[in-house]
Amino acid sequence: MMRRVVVTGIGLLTPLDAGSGKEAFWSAITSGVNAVGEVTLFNTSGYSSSVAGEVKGFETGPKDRWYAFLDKAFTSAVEDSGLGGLPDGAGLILGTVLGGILKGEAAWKQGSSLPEEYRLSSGADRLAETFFIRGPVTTVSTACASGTDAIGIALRLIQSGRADVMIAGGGDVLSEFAFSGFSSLNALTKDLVRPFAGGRTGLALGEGAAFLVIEEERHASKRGARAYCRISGYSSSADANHMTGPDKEARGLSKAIRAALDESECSRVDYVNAHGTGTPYNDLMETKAFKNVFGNEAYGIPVSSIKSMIGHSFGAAGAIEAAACVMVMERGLIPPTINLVERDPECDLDYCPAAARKTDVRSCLTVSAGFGGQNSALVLTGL
Amino acid sequence: MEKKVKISALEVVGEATPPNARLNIRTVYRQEEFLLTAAHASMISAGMENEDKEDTGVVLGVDSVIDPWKEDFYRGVLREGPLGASPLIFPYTSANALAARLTIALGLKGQSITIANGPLSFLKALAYGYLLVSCGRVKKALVGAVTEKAAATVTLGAGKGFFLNACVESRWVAGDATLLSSMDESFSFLGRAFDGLSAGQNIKAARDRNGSAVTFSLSI
Repeated sequence: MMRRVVVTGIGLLTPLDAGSGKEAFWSAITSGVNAVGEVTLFNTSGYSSSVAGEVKGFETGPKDRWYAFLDKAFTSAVEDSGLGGLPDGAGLILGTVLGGILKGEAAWKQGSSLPEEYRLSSGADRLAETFFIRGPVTTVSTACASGTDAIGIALRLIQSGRADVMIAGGGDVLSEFAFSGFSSLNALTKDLVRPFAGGRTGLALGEGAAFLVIEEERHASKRGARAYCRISGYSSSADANHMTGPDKEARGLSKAIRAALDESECSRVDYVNAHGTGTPYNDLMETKAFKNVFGNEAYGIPVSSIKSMIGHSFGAAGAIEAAACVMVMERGLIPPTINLVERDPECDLDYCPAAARKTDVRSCLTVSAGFGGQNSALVLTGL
Repeated sequence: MEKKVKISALEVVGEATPPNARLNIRTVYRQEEFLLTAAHASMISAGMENEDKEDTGVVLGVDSVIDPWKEDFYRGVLREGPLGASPLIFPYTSANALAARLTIALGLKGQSITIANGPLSFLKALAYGYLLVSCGRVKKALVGAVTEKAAATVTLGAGKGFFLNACVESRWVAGDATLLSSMDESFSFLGRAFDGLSAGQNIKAARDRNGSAVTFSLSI
């Protein structure tokens, strides 16, 4: 029989909470707080936008910003799990898109060689050394699906018996590197992120980190851990279509969602946490995917996008959204999609506009899509 | 319980490969050409080139191969400000860009994962690819890695003559493990493992300086 996997800890750092913890995050997303605002980390003159979901008011001290984000989210997750010290075979999967890019920017500006802290793998290696992690340690980088895939890979490792406890998640920082790239693609909104709205104008970049502690269910039960929910399905797929744009017919994302639902033995869900970036193509593609998979039932499933409030935090996004889903299921309250005022007739599902919605959520789907046609889906179910 | 998975022979294509032995395809960077040539050869060797690839996964290891492209992109910004940001180069600054090119060029639509773990990235990709195929998540997988100098690929779930019996990553490994300082060394390491195959199980282990290790078992 397949080993079951539960979530026993969550930790995150986002522009909404600035490291104050999950309760501050929860309060903000259920109140529909907009954390997308003027960028202060670098000069945005000449770019197509000046706004992003920047973490403000979080002191990193002398530590590298990326490391500081990872440390905060990681320690919060482990503390939340009640594990104390990590068991001997515990492993770590980190999803990141640009890793220590700020170190890279500094090196290129100075003409010096790239430091070790720049490496995508340095974040996980450092956490492993600091916290004596002796199980599998891997860095996965699948563009904007990195956080979701990190959790999915950790799930597979536990299911296969290679570990009983895994800490999985993602983290990325806001950088001029990424900002300039998305500006060059004309993908950035100038003001608000309006997922699924008519006249939506693009995404806002963001930053943050989140980790989930996931465990084999009997292992969690044996130590008396509080289990939030199960992770009961995961899949990913490739569009095999275009380097930046999604498959407009949503075949790849539909396939990933179906496979994740099949594994979880769910035919429908009570809530969908969308990738919902606010770009014309992504939001339309996602809506198609939900309709492809759920048919007319899609109209009865609430969907919302947290990116409307915090922007797109790259490798952290999938992990932050998974953590949010855990809290949605725990508390029976769905965060809204904010800034959805003008409707798009082609995006006609229930996106929970304006206000959080109280409802029993026993199963939840969270999806991510990334550059290069990456699609990933996770299904969480109640105990 | 670990399960035997067919594995094709290792294909390595790089700077040393004569140009007329590489695929004649338009690429932005030569490393794409290395990877696509190796992948194409692996799929032909495994008899996969004409099969339905809807459930063929890709697991790719990358290390520093895209660093020059990232530097190239950012230097444009440093030189010319916002107008110097190239929308052509930018997509290639994502670590999964090469895996994406592979999926697009070969039509591979199963799970696509990019692993960025230093010198062990290829072997960790092999470990994850093995997990995917042995647990039935994908029917077949193309596993590979790219460095600045070369690309290496194998297929899993297809191929003749070899089996991957197990492939596991861990933080520490007991016994002898070959220290790898670069991903290019891991290509040679795996190549030697294939070349030195004897009857029965051939267990090999490799590690990096950070304490990560991959142990695998090949057989004929």
